[in-house]
Amino acid sequence: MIRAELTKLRSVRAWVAGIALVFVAVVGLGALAAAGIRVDCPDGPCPKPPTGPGGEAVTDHFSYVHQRLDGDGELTAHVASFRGIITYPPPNHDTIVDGLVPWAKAGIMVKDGTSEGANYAAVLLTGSHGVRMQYAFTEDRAGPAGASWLRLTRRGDTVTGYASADGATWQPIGKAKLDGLRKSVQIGLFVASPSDVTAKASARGGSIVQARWTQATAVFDQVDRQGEWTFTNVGDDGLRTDWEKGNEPPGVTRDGGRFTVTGSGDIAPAGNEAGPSLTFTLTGMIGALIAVIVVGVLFITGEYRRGLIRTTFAAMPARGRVLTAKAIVIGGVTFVAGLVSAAIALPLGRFLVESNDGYLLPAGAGTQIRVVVGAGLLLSLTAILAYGMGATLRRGVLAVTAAIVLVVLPYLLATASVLPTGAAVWLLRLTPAAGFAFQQVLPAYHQVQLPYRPSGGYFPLPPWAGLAVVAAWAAAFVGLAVLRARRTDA
Amino acid sequence: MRAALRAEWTKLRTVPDAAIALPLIALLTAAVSIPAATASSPDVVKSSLLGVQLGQAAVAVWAVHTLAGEYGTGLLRATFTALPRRLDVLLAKAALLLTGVLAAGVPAIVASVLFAHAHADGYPSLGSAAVLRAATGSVLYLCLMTLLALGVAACVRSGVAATGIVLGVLYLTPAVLGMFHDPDWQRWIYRLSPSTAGASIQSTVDLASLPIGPWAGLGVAAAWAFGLFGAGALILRACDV
Repeated sequence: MIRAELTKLRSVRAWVAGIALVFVAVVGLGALAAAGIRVDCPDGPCPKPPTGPGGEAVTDHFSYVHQRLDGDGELTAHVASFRGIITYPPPNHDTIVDGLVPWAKAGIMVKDGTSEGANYAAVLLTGSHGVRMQYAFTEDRAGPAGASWLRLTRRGDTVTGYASADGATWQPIGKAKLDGLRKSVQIGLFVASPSDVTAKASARGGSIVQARWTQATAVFDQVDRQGEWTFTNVGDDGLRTDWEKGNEPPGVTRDGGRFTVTGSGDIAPAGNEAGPSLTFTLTGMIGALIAVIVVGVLFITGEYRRGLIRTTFAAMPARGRVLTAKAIVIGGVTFVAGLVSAAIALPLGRFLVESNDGYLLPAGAGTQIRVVVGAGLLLSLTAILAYGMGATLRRGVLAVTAAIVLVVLPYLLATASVLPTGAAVWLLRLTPAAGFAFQQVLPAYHQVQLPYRPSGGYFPLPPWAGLAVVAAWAAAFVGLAVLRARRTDA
Repeated sequence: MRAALRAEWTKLRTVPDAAIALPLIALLTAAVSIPAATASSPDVVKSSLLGVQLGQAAVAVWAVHTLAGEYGTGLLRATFTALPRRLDVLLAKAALLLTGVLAAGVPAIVASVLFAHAHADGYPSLGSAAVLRAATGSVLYLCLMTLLALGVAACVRSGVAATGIVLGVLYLTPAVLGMFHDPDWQRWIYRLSPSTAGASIQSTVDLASLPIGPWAGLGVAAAWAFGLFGAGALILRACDV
């Protein structure tokens, strides 16, 4: 049965052309978009962002007052005060105000050297999320409320964080195992203050993200380690704001046992503001989707129109099984086409970007495989959905329109129209456009304050859940088609 | 021409397509516009006309089906035997389709604008140049998409393929626009694509930042529509059916 359907699919020239169009769209449009990616900075191409221990792009910029720690040891400090400024926040954007952004950080840190992206573990006080333990850029754990005493102990490659409200009773927050931590590491006090980021809707669709520079200052006392302290502005780009020139430069002042540390920046995984991601190599997906929708619909309505379906049903009277076999064939063929073309488009796009002195944000092997397989699955499930609609409606034009309106239009409205974020998020949960979630390369992190919106490439559902939504739609329509084929004449 | 018009009118009257398409155009346009109008948006006028994005799909399908449906069933051979002046047939179809799109689109757009004016904060007055331009422009845009769809159907002669192409033209460019990282490319794609350039007629805020002005944008859409309609007419005249 499957062989019969494969033969049909193979022998109609227009259908083969449609499948070929998948390759042309995914590889061609992807290469075109990749060739257009430029990452320009004032002096030449931008440097790549640093990468953390997990290989992901990170932001690593902060003020660090540190000394060497050989082997095991610990550091305790008390944060006596924590304050900061935010430059020109809304609504009027006209003054510099006192205040801390929610994820401003002041605390103590063990770090594997002072280079950007070096592994670390820290306990810290935040602007409005209490005491946390963070390590390896992506990990974040909440500590006890009301604590201002912080302690880190290092045993081998394990760092344990503690916090206390009074400096007498200590509560452990978490244990970080930092693989490959060298014997000789840096330990000390740090302050970071990420930009104050907000997004507003743009009149042209999508959103405009605004970032305002901030600075934080923390006073540490009761520091229990003696000896020389060194100051390093980790990840310093050499640029200074007027505020830093005129009022408070980043650095440390020491008054006996009190350290006043001032700094800006963040220690966190980078979002899509750090550069283009792998998703840009899949620009052709929408074109390919339209092609598989047309082929999927024609695969069944063509049979109905020419009356071939009567021959098919005469030869194979189990109608439900015939329709299912057709769904398997169209799904299988489009899956392979999508998989292969995405597997070509990804490395080709990366090559084109890099030959332009640009870069794509790094993505792990697992993520790349997920994106390639996801591209195949989205094309395949969409083809089955379109085929199911064609078999249910039996009107080609109607089925193509319905499928495109269900799959492509919600994606368009959610990512590139003036639709507000709330509505966009629901469109991407309920409609088959949820499947596009497979192409989100950068995860969203709760400990980073960024506007994670569909227009910025962040989807409300995880990749596999999004594809499951498409699968449910496709299964529903194939089910309807089987019901209709059993009940009514062909 | 009168014979062609009468023949097409009879078809239109007796086949249920129009009876389904016309309410659908009006309904889809209003059904998206009205909820979108109540949401906060930087361009309330444009939001209140968002339904045109969906309504144009119904318009395109109806236009494609009116011609390609006849190819599919072979009716077109009978039509051309009775009315050998093929261009007249195409023009008659276009005239009736445009009348239908006006009949369905105008009430839907007027209703959307009236609703938004009553319920959306900061909606400009109904007589203001911006609202009038956006509303009439949206109607004209729907008409242009009718001609474009009819032209594509005449070019490719398969209803399903024509629908795929027309909806691809309408939805592909706005969707991939954001994927092009280079702002120069983005601007050029926006200017050249009939859907993005044409939809700029609905913008009322921050016009200076648009890659193309509202009327110039509608002009681009018109060039596409008339170009494809012309190409379709040539193919229809030159080729066997």
